[in-house]
Amino acid sequence: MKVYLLKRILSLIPVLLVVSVVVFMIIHLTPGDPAAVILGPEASEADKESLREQLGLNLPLYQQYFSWMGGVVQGDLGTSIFMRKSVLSAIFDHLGPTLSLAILSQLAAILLALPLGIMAANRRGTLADQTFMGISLLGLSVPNFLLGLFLAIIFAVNLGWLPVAGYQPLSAGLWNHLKFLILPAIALGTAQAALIARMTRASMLETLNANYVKTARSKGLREQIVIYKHTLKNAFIPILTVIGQTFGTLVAGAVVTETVFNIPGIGQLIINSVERRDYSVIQGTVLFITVSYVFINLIVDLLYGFLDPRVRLENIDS
Amino acid sequence: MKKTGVLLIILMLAIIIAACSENSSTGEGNSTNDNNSGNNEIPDVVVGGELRIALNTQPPSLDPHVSTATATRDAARPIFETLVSLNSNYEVMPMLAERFEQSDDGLVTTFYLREGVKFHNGKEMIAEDVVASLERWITLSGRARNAIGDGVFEIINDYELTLTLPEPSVGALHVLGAQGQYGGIMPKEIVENAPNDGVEELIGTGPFEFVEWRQDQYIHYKRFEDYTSPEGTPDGLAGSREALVEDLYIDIVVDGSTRVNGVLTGQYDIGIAMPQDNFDQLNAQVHTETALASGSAFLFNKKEGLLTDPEMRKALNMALDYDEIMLAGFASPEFYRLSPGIMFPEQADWYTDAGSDNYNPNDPELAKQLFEEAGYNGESFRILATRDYDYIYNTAVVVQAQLERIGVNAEVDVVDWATMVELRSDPSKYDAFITGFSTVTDPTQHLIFDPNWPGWNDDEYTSELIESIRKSANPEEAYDYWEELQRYTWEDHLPYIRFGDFYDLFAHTNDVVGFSVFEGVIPWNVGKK
Repeated sequence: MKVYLLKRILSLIPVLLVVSVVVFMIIHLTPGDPAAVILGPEASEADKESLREQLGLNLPLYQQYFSWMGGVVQGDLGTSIFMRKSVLSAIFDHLGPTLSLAILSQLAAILLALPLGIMAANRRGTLADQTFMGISLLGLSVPNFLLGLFLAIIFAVNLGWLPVAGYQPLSAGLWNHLKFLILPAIALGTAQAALIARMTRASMLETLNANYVKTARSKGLREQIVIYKHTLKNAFIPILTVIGQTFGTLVAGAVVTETVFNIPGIGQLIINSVERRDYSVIQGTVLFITVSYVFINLIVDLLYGFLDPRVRLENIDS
Repeated sequence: MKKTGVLLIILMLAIIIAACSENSSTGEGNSTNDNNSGNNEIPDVVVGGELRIALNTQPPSLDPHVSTATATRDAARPIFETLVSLNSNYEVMPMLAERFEQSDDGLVTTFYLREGVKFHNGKEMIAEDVVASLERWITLSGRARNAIGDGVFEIINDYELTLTLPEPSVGALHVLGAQGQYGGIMPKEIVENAPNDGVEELIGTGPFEFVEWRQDQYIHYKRFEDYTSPEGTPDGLAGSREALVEDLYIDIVVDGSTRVNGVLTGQYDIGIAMPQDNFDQLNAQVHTETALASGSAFLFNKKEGLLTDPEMRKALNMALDYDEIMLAGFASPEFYRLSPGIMFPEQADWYTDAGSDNYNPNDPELAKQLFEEAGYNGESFRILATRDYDYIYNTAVVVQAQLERIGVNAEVDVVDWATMVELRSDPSKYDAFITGFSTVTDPTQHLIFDPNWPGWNDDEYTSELIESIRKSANPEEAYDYWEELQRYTWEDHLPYIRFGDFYDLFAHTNDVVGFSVFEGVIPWNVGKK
């Protein structure tokens, strides 16, 4: 187990190295210049040049890369040109909203999707099954920003139940925190729910036909036990994969939803930084997302073993 | 199970109905077209509460000396004040200086400061702060260098200073009150050794003091208790100022529809740069206001490529229908006007319609002939544009269509804003680009006459006239030169086409009183019922 974990974590190093070079090259080779953004559209070439010099942007690319990488190895992701604070603290400032939103929408998605998926599988071919699957297809197809705008118009503008946009940290009170996140969480969670529900249904259907389920039923076990203990647990691995993947996507920032609801999360940080050409923030955030992705996948892999003894890690080590 | 399905369908129907009834709640909205906020009495409201202004982009800096961005101007305005200010006719008025006088030759200006003006850190503002601030500002602002250049500030005593110019400069006094990248006054200790990308501490003399800047969320200001206001009826940026709310927030709200919804629900009291497509909706429910923003311009690359030939530029101009272009760019006639003036008609000292024969000629047949005479051979014009500003993209597309109508090829290169700013500095990358030019206080400040600015208007006669204007002691003396320059610009040289002026749309809730705009929202003298 420990060896496995160590291997997984060590395998991060080449991934990060490749990501760092690729990201660095892409953003530095893209036209656009942070000095021009800071000084505004009507700045003179001379003023831009002198600011570029002050910011060290006139150095050769490899030199900029190595000086940045040198910091990264020591845990310093650099300083934001634009925000004038360390990239790490910028990421952590923006992480709170994103995590809250991700957890809330994932929770909503799971709570909605699992029962519906199970129910649909159980009543395969009935009107209920077809209705739910139809709705889930709709949920999957409607872009979440559109859904977000609809939700805002209905529940914020017309009904006035919830704020249109914005964000308050948890320290401002639970309700103050949640009320800004409910609409975006639904907008985001719908597509996730649809995906999870469809996966649940498909996986359940497959498992329901397995011999051990037939055995359980013929033993006269109660239907609930057959479904939840025997079928669901065995059907859960692909569901878990989908949940892990969608969560990873959410942590990487729901770019458009965060913009529509003006939530200062990781997605907005990336978009704004790209617009401003705030190089160190883009680089740092992408590296951070890579690491979180790898860790979420790792956790999902470890959970497989928890669900299915056949893939427990002791077997891998031996 | 069937019941659940039916319930779900009913719920969805309810939602759709709710969405469709969006406009049923009619407020008492109205619209005022008030590009220059004239005389405004300070409204009689109880001071207190908070005011939230939704701004469309995060300012790159809150240091007004550093950035030419309008977001910086808007967000720095509550904090920092200028030595003199402009009224709604763009005339120079007292601000931190209670009066000023110019010597007969126009070379020496003496400023008398108001006594007892406090900075937000409690220190009194005196002449050494003014001189230190303005000296730093001149090193950072191209426009300040252009107008004041080698002028020297001298401290006479704590409340008196002079500006001595080596030769007359028509715009020297105006630029001290100008609003883009403005000369805000800060304490000497902060200005000295401040880095070029912004001061560390935001301390000014304005009606609001800085509290906190949450990146990408909001900037929070609070009413400055010890504020001392200049006197006089508020007019433009001049006259008395009073903070009517305890807390002022500038919320950074990038998405246009979010700003609209926010103002409709009262989450934001004032919205800046509202999407023009939402004009009717806003108008029905809240107050809207349009204000003169900028000029829409089509700049030719005069260094490389097809449009280095003035005849080719004239042929291109002849093909264009400005009205159609402006309508595509700004959605409705409320948001633009056709005007041949390179300076706004509101700028009475400078406005002229010289050269207007060549403004909006719209003669496609003649254009065809001119293209032929200029030796056009089916080449394609490359127009640089961005979708980050709708009008830039829409303008480019319509220009392309109008050229294609007479068989002239054009392609539109669409990139993001930051890319466009870089590409337009590279003469090999384009033939023309679209931009908006902000208000300038005198023609010499106009970037179109700067030979080094993208487009490269490096022309001897233009430079000569600009020098003559610059060295005039006052606008009257300069007017003939300026009239000639504008005529030459339209008729002979045509370094660019200025399609016309456009307006920004602002909206505020029905609770807001005393709202006014002059070169951006004015955050003082505005409160809530």
